[in-house]
Amino acid sequence: MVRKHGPVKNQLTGLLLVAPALTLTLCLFALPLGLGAWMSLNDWPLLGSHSFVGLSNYRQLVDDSSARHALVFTGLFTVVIVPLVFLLGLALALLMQHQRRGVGLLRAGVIAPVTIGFATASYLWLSLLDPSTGIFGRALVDLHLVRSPVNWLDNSGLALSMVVIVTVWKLLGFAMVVLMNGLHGVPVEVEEASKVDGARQLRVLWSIKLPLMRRSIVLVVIFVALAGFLSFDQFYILTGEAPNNSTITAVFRIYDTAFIRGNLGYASAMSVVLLAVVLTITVLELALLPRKGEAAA
Amino acid sequence: MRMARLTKGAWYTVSSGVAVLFVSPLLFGLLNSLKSPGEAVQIPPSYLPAHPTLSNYTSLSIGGLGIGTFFLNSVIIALATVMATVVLASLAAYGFARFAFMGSRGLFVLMLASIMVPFQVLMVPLYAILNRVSLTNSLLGVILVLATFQLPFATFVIQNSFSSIPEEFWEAATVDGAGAWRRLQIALPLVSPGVITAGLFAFFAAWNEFFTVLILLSDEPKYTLPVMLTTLITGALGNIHWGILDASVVITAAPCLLMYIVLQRHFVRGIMAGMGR
Repeated sequence: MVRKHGPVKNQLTGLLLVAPALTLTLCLFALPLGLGAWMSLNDWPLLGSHSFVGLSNYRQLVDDSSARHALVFTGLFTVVIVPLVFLLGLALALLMQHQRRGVGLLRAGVIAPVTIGFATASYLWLSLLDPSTGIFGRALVDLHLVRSPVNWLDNSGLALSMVVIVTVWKLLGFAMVVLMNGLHGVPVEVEEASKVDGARQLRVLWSIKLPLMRRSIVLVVIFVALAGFLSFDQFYILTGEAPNNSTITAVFRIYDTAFIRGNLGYASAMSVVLLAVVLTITVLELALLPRKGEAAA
Repeated sequence: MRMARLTKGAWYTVSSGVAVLFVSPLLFGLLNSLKSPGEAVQIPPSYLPAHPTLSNYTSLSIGGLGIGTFFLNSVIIALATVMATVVLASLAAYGFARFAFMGSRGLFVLMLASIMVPFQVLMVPLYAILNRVSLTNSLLGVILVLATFQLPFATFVIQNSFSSIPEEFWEAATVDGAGAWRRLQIALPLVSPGVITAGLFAFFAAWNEFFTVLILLSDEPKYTLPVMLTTLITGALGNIHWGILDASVVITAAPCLLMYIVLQRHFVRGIMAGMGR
């Protein structure tokens, strides 16, 4: 679609068509991006006037153990959910990849949680996992998996596992769809050839199929890693200001600093750092994408 | 396929088991929502409501406001976001696809790259900007923010649809004397898959948005459904009315599930389109 620019009149039409979207993007994307950087150099209270303080917000951030803890915790959470979602998603994709009567309905069941919000999902699970009135507590007891209902909010380890369960439940359908698409992109001949060779299934998957579906894998990893690094809803709702602040994520810390403590400047500095981290991760992962021309599904 | 050397029966057993496992939280939420207030606090809980009732759906009251108020707020925000996103993105996509201007290519790439900057890290300056122009605590402010962050993906998906229209179509339209506006009108049915996909994702994003609404809106009567849910559990913990919470969760989740069931094909297409970039 590389085309020479048309006559001036056409160019003007193009500009006019793009203008509304461009205006909104400039006002509510580009402007906040710049303003955020500027705010991070200021003492900027929620109410009242602001003053330039140079890099002092960043200097404070370096020594802020609770901010560092939030970033490390968010990273650990991400490191837990990425492999979980990927491996379980791959298992589901392998299970449901072929056309069979009713497979569409079964896939839809796995995808359904993807469509509801993280907040909605969190409240649903909060109710289901309540130690006294929650149905899952009773189900686990009836299945003889536990002796008495688990009190999930009792300690931070359990509370965290509850958040992991909700997050994985919400993201698995997405991973399944993308990885299934990847599996479908593997040429039939490759599969046939490996069958003739008598190669074992797991080996075929590991050394032939997975490398061919690198694109799908990288995109699942990027998507889940971003979801993990930016997570807020599940933690705000399920663990809140949990035991000794151990389950506060980076975005939660920013929210708390800006809108509860009213320190917009300091929160902006945190946002700039988080953006840098997120961009670095995304770019590193994008670099793993197959180059143009390389076989990819 | 050998991996599925599971017999047919075994495959159906395993797969149905998995599907049931995924759907069961939604199903139990629905069943709980039909319990009477007394049964909702029963220990241990019952699996099925003994005497199903819809009272939880009608008895929600927050400061005198029923669930209808919050449902309406959600509908307004979701529909307006979808409209704004779809209209602006379609115009921009048409411009990018058919009327290349100086710098349009670079602008398009820049717009796509902006997807990498998540809105969460821009919330603080966004709040400051909207506050300055009195758009905090306003549905309009929320709509503008949500639409802005849907635009890159929407423009990309719709632009793809425009690019797939064969050149002959445009030539024929031009020969017939159709101007730029008229050509857009006759092309719209052809790009509708892209438009529907963009609209569907804008709907899910707006309907489910929690963080943005929590920060930008402060008056309870303006809350959307997901944020309204917070008011049901804050306050004295242990005093939660689970039946009402479950009913509200069902009402919040239902439109998404319905939308997904009706537009399934477009949903999967959207996920795949997101991968194309």
